[in-house]
Amino acid sequence: MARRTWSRYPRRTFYLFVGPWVAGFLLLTAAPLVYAFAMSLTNFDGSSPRWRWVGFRNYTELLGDEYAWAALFRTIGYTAIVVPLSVAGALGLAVLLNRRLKAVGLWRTVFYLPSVVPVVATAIMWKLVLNRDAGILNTILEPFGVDAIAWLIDPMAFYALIILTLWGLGGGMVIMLAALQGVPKELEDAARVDGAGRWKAFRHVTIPMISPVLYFQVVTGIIATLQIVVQPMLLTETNSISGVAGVPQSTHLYMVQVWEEFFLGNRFGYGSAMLWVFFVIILAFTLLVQRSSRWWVHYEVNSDADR
Amino acid sequence: MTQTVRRRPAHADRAHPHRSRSKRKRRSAGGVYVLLLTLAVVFVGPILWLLLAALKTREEWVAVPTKVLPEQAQWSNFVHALTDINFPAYAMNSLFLATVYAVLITISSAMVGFGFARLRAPGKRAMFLVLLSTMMLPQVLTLLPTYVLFARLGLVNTYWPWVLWGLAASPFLVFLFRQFFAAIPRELEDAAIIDGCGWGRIFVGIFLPLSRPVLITAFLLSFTWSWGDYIAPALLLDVDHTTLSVAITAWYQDPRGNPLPTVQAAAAALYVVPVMLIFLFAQRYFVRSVVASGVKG
Amino acid sequence: MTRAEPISRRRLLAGAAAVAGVPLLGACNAGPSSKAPSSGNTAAAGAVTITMMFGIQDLTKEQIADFEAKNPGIKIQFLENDPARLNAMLASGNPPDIVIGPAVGSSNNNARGLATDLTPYLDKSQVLKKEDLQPINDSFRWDGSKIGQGGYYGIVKDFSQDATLWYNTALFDKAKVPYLSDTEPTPYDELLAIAKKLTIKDGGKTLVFGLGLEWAWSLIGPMATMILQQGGQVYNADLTEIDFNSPAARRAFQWYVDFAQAGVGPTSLNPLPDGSDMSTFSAQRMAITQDGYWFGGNYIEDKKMNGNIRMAPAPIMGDKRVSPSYGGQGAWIPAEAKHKDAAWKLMEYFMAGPPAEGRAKSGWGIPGLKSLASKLPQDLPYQKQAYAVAQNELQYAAPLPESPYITTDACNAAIDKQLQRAIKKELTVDAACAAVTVEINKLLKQGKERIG
Repeated sequence: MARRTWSRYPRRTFYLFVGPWVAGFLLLTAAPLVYAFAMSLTNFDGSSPRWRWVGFRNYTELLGDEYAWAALFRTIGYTAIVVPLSVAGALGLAVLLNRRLKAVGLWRTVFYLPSVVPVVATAIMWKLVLNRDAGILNTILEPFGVDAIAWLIDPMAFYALIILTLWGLGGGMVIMLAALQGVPKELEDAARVDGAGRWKAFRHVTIPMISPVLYFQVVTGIIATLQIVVQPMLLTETNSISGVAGVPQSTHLYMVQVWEEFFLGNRFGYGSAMLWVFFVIILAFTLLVQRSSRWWVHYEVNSDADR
Repeated sequence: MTQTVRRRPAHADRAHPHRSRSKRKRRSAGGVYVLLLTLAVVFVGPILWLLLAALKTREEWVAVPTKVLPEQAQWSNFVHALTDINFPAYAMNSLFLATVYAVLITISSAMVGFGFARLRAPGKRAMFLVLLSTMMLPQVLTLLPTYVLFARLGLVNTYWPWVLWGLAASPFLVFLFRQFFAAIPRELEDAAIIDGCGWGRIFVGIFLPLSRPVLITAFLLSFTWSWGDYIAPALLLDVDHTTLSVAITAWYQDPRGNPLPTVQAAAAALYVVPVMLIFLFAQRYFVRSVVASGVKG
Repeated sequence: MTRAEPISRRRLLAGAAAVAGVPLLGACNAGPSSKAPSSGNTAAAGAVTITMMFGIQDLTKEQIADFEAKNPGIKIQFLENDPARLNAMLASGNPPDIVIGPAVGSSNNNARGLATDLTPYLDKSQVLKKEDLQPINDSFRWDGSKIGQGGYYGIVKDFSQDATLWYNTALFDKAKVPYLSDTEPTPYDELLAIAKKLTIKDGGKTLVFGLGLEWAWSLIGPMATMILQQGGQVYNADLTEIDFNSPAARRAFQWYVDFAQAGVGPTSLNPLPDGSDMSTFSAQRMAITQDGYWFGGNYIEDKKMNGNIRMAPAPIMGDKRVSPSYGGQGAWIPAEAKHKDAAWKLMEYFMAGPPAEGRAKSGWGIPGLKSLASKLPQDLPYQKQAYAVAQNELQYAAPLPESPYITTDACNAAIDKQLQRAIKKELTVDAACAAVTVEINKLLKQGKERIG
């Protein structure tokens, strides 16, 4: 492909197209961010006017905060389990549903449904399902000789959280489905005619074609999973903010720790510092994935080429 | 070359191979249905359990040994769900906000995504990295500053923040659109440029129609997101103007302030219905996009 | 936010369309926006709109309308009680004009200068008078270094002595356990033994819990009570340090560990699906619940239950009867509120007007005003019994010790964390108590440093 001259790409056009985001970014993201950064240099408690600048003391304190580090490693481990499972699960479901089935709309709806159940309902629901005494899951397992399992406390809480997260993979499935719709059936057919098996055609034709979307799912999946906070809190005894105190050790993820500092300790300064550090860590992860994407993501146009 | 001309033969082409293929595949179809059914039980089971809870009394709800079916279906839970709070009014608020937000953000994100996928200018790469990184910002970080900002602008207790958010595009959706637009063959673009189209025309006339599944996906995701969002309305709206998600989270109480979980379960079931209907409607449009035929044709 | 902008959907859409520069919303105009804006009747000239942040059931729509009718110059904007939003509003310098909140634990807000001293208002008021306030209101008082004296920073709507018990006589009969005394407190160790007798287990499941402690609501409250009952101290004199290493504290902690390990009631390691005892108690699956006088009001209409329930005095650990309130819900006016006079009018209406009478008659806790006590319900036998127990218990009321340098929630969190470890035998009780002391002292130090 010949290198185009700049006349094909007037600068103004690009800025016009991305303008809405730039304006929104400056007002709705950058401004609050500056405020939040300033907050991380104070001992602000979230409400009272009596606060002082403390410099980078919050950041140095964080370096020696063993609870925070333990929570961070727990979070990374959780992400390493959940993201591959949910991307693979969403892809698998999408492949199953991207065919001519009877009542295909109904099937799609069934799998998408969990991802639209409001959080509060999800919480009630899973506590009902997983409750040791009155829960349906233990009732179902009982005839198989399984003694009542306490799902919501250590160590089972970790698995309960994974189940709950995977249950909502319908959102990812929808995106995968849209991606699969974009794969020309003819290409796969051509590969099959050339003698490739079904799996081989899928692996060498379909996967590369949808790799930009897979990449998208992996990146957004990592970002979202690292930041999970509501689900572990909702699986505890109360749904209130102080419910954060009851989060079991095994699901006490980094954001839960942050939440605890913000709303239990009223340490908005320290909490903001924790978030800034977390932000940098997520950024690093994402750049890592982006690095790797050069080897496995296939684009029609090289949109990263220009700067 | 216009859209309609290109589209029609493409559809006609595809009809036949599909039909014959599906006949050949019928043998394995049974297995697929069994698999789907098993998965469906896992996915819908908890929701069914919630629905059953919505038909129980507060006592049956925590009974041990577990009561699968209520002794007598408490349909009154649904009546309470609709009348204890002004359910229809809150539903309208939610519907209104979610629609405005979803329409605006789908369009703005598509525009920005197009810019990042197809256009070039100095600083683009850096800007995209900034955009990606904003996606990683934990929402809690900007929660309080955002409130302070809207308070200063006098926009607390109004719906304007949703319009602003809608116009500002979502990094997540921009990323989504960019990935899709980047996958569209360059030949389409070239042809249009030769025909003398500007980039605006190319975007509206070629890329948007080609990406109908993504547009619908984006609308669906942003609608669902706004419909289910609790934090923003709880922070910014008062009791009369807030959304259904806030209302059903904590407002089903007896006069003494005890939660009414079975009524809440009923409300949660009703709350999911609109999103489900929109999805049922939208999924029909997840047809094979025209990208495919574009390559061949 | 002096005056809430009325929310008009039509205007919003028009504006949005204009800003977007596209006619994309034209079609939407026929939709919900055609409904008239819901801002209601326009306020009279010079009217103020006060913002109140209350629980959703604290004031009904009818009561708000009644208040607005009686005070033509005042309009109310209702916000649901939400700590995150309150934080944000305080931080932005636009707090609500009146906020619901408990008296016990209010010193943290008061020490941070967030609340208005209501004493001048009390001095002038025709309806709310200092002499009429129940002692529980002392928890709202703050003199700059401790609670119990100084200005009033809030008024209590109602309270209960939360360590008192309710029990289900049918379950007692079934287990052949004699009823609890109406006048004498049950020692905690005996209570645990009774709870074990009442608990019914089946395999790994618990069919009937012997005793519910409302674990999720408070741990510092009941434990501090146990410490006081043994004549111990919770905090040091200037409230900058807690001592959980004392024998009294360790005994209280040990009791909680024993309770959890016996498996006779819900804990944070074995939670109820809805986080509070009521539905389980109502389902005849809990024999005793430590819930305070107010709890009985739940059963006014439940004839099946209210024939079977009785109230009992707060249990005791040691020999001093102490029966505090862990909360004492009330209202306060933020220091930066814009319409304090109007907010005080609402305070008077809420604390002494029709809503207060309604609450008292329903047995919704003991009113914060002595003059309303006679309105408490005594029609049904169970109400009579509870009224007698509650009246007798009042003499043992005592304020719960609290430090302004920490929130109640943070205390509970720190205790729960170490309790769990001790219950799981990862720590001895002594080590857990030491850890609680270290952790809370760290928070106290941080708080002290912020407040100065």
